[in-house]
Amino acid sequence: MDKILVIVEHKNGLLKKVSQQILGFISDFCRQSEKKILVLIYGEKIAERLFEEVASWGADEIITIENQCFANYNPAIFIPTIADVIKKNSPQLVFFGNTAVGRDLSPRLAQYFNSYMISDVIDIKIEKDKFCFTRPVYGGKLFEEVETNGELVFVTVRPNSFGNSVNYHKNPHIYNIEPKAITNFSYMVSDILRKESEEKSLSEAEIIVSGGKGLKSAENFVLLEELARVLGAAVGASRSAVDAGWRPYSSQVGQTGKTVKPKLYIACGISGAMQHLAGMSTSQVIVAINKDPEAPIFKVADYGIIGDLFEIVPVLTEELKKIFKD
Amino acid sequence: MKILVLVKETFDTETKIVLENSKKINNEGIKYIINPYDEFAIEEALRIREKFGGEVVIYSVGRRESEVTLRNGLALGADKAKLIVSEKIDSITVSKLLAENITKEEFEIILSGWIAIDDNNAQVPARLSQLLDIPLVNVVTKIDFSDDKIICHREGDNTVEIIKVSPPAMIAVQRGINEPRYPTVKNILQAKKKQIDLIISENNEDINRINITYQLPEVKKAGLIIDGSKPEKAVNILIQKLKEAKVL
Ligand SMILES: Cc1cc2nc3c(=O)[nH]c(=O)nc-3n(C[C@H](O)[C@H](O)[C@H](O)COP(=O)(O)OP(=O)(O)OC[C@H]3O[C@@H](n4cnc5c(N)ncnc54)[C@H](O)[C@@H]3O)c2cc1C
Repeated sequence: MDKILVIVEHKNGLLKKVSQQILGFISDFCRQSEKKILVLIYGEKIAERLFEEVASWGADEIITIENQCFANYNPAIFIPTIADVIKKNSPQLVFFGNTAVGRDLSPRLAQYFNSYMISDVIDIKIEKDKFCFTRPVYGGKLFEEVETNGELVFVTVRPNSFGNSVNYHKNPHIYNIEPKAITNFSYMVSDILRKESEEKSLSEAEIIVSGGKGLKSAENFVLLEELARVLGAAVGASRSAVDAGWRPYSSQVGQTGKTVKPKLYIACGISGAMQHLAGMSTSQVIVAINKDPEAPIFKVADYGIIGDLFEIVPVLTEELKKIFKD
Repeated sequence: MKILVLVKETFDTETKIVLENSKKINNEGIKYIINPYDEFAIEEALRIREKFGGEVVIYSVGRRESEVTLRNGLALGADKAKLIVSEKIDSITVSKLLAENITKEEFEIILSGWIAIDDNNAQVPARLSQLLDIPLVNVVTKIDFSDDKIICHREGDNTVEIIKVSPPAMIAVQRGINEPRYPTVKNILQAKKKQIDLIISENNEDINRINITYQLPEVKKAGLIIDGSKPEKAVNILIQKLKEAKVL
């Protein structure tokens, strides 16, 4: 029977959203097919409730690597053990989230198996036994459709590409495996610095409030932070705002920044240069607030307000506060 | 220190994409640039050379004409360039061609951008490092040297990982690592005389195990534009619409 392996990530005892989205999508599909879902969970400690969560997405098998060596991501340690899992189970597809780990581990494993990898997938169509993957290229100015023929392929999925799925409980077979002994010490993780504030991760955020040159100063970003707090959103920025030193590089959205796909993207004082659109054009709903009616951002916006952001944003924040209080 | 920098020629970021057919992008009149992430890699290589001495060699796989683009890399200060001419530039082919040629070199570091803005694949650094059997630190925002170790800041999701590797190693860089310089007039003139080796690849096996087609995104229908001269009114319309669209 054909198998699909999903390598999931978790945080604070819960699946990362992108892992959950992949599982949901795969489980919807596997319900009508003969394929088996294998889920690989690794970590120093794997919370009990994770098993329930994974089982609720129709997993047939849960393979765990619960070991101190798997506390932090290190490709030299991860590859031999995960490659072994793949060899033993011969899945047809191996899925990762397009996250810091997925992006790094997936191409290494793909090369290990001399296989194809399909990066940053935003849609999958399945017909009988054929998979067709859609992925943006050229900064979203073009879509590539990749059809595979059943051999082993590695896939990373962009967060927020799949909507909500319906749970489908199974009683998966669960077993733990031991990491393979490491012979390669060429890659050492000597420290991990966490960002001071547990800022919301931009790539996984469902709502993003983004600011550009129109914000005029670093201090003014408080306006967007306020709005983001009310919405439970992450704060992004254009390159101009980053170059001006108002925001860190890590918050830059665009061709040379993060690529995001939130449910709602609110662009404030951003003109909408092609290089910015490259990072956010696949968002589900785009709102633009800009005082220049000719700004190109209005071409991609679903809703645009032509006006002064310093007048509009505080009102928006206040009105939303009222709504969320009810 | 000998540093190899992998450079890919890409379309300029302003390019409007036109399809010839579902399998081919029309490249008439396209302006080409060095992949912006590879520019960070060139800059970092130059800075390392300035500190420790040595040589910076650009390696590229691509069409014959990309020589012109590679000259821009030489104008920034790289010592020489090698262009492996190949029609096929998918990640698997490129990694293989690079590996075949780089194994013949002595080097300490290979630098590259972590992703190319055209194919959005981010696979070559990982694949090449596997083929050469050297460590790769991916998505790096800072490089330091201490004794015989290279210490990298790697970007995680909301974290910075401090990674130590020993040369020979590969490092794929992320924006934020530096601010690339502009070419000086003197360097532009010198670049004209610098050497670009052409390597003609014989590897043209067409594996074709997957089928790739292109599609232009659907043109978005015009959105609703709201006059913001009365902020309260505008905001209320917006909220109403967002509720209807079920994103609130
Ligand atoms: C190789 C390359 C890579 C790039 N990568 C990126 C990238 O990853 N991300 C990115 O964003 N850019 C990138 N850029 C830069 C991009 O071309 C633009 O320069 C940048 O996006 C502009 O940022 P902005 O919209 O904030 O600034 P501007 O273009 O200056 O726009 C500011 C906007 O704010 C509006 N505004 C001003 N005041 C107000 C107000 N009070 N109320 C409402 N609106 C107001 C103005 O009307 C204007 O539309 C890249 C460029 C190159 C060449």
